[in-house]
Parts: sequence; C-alpha cells; structure tokens
Amino acid sequence: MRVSPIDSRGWLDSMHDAVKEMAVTMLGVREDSIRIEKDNEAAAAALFEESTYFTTISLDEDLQVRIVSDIEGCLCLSGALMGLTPKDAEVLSPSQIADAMGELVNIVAGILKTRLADHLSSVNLGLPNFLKGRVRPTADQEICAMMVGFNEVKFQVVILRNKQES
Amino acid sequence: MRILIVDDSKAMRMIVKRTLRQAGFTDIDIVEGATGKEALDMILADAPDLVLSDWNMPEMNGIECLEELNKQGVKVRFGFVTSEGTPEMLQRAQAAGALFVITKPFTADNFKEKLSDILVAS
Repeated sequence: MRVSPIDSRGWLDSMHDAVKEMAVTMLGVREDSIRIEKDNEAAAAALFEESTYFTTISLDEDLQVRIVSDIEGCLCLSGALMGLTPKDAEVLSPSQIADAMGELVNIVAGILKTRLADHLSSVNLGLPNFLKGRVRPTADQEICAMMVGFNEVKFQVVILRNKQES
Repeated sequence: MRILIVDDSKAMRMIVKRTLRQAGFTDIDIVEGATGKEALDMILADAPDLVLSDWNMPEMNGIECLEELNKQGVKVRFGFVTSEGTPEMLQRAQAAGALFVITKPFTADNFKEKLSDILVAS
C-alpha cells in the first residue's frame, strides 16, 4: 500500500529527472542536448502509432516503467550504453539489444524508486523484459508518458499504473 | 587482485569492467557470473579478492548470495553495484556485511570513492 499518492505532474517531474540522470551518467549525453516533452496527452497518443519495441520493468505492485522506441532508437540507446558509435551499434544482436535496453529501464526505475520511496511499497524491482509491440493500457490503467530526444535518438518513457481509487 | 563481477546483464558486466579501468584499477583479473547461484558456486570453489554484485538477478539474487555465504561462514569482501537504493535495501546490505553499495547510474569517480581503500589495501 502506498504511503501517499502521486499525481501525473509529480510522476512526470520525477521521470524527467530520472531520464536526465540516466542519459548524462550512463550514455554520456550532454545535459543541454537532451530534449524532453512532458506534454502527457500528446506523448501518450504518439505511443499507439509509433511504438514498436519496448522494455518494461515492474516498479511497484501495480506499476510498470517502460522505454519505448523503434528499432533504430533501441540500437542507438543500446550502443550508447555500451560506448559504441551508432555505426558500430548496427552489429548488435537482438539479445544484446534486449540486454542493454533492460539495463536502461532498470536504471530509470531504480532512480524513480529511490526518489519516490515514500510513495511506493518497498518491494524489489522486477526483472526487465524486452518486447515487440505497442503499449496499450487496459481500461483499468492510466499512463504518464514523455518524449525524450538527444542527437538522433527519440524514445518515450512511460509509467503505466492502475487507476487510483477515488 | 581477482574481482568477481556478478550481473545478469552482460552489458552491465562490460560497463562495470570499463568503469573499473576508467577509475584507474588496471592491475586486476576479472571473472564474471550471471546469477547469485553462479556467484555462490564460484566463490565456494575459489574465493575472489572482491565481489561486485548486482542485487536483482534470477536464480538467487545478490543479497541472498551474500546471506548464504554468511550462513556457511565464508568470508569474502562483497559489495553491490545496483539500481536499488532505498533505505531498506541499504540497511539490509549493511546488516549482511556488504562493504559498499554503488548505485546505478554510476561514474568512475563513484568507483574510485568506494573502492580505493579496498583495492589499495590488498
């Protein structure tokens, strides 16, 4: 049971900080080159049209964190994590991409979990999965989504959670 | 100095190796494990000088590995490199005798800060 709920704005602000920290520290991206659009509805609408691959991890009992992109985006992100140029990243195998993308969502989820510890149950993070397909919330779920870009890379970071009882 | 890096992510094991080199720890031999169970077996067979372990892994996680080593009376220098950074997790790591917890995302400076005394002392 959560100690206190967080609204969408709170989630988006925390996601913003977590993604920046991950990109600067682990991907070597300059902070001033990161573009983040926190417009929730536009990003959520874009999910259903553009998403083709996503990596997902459970952050809490009914809460998942996902990074969503096309295959080029996944290659670039994976390559950046491993210190490869985009050209060198082209030879990464599907399992290497899945592994790297899983680590990225693991890191973002870990930052969120630490920052929002007072608002989450104290369960361990889950193990990440990398899947092909679109992110579609069920009728019981709500989405917080943001678009992130740096250099040629574009991806979405998503929190998927059960709707809060009123 | 022999260091065992344990993480179910091959990419992360590579990054930890790279960060150790970037932090200036070059005179080291590195062995790798992908699960807590694998690490436990490797440590029992031939204990390394230092273990850098992830927390969440399939088939026995890192803290379970350390707690099992404690149960068996096996002393090995052990620390975590993990995305888990909550107070509860840090307390559990400390209670189990972990020497340090380095949280992801990390830099070479983080490694220098946490490992300099340990690796120099060897």
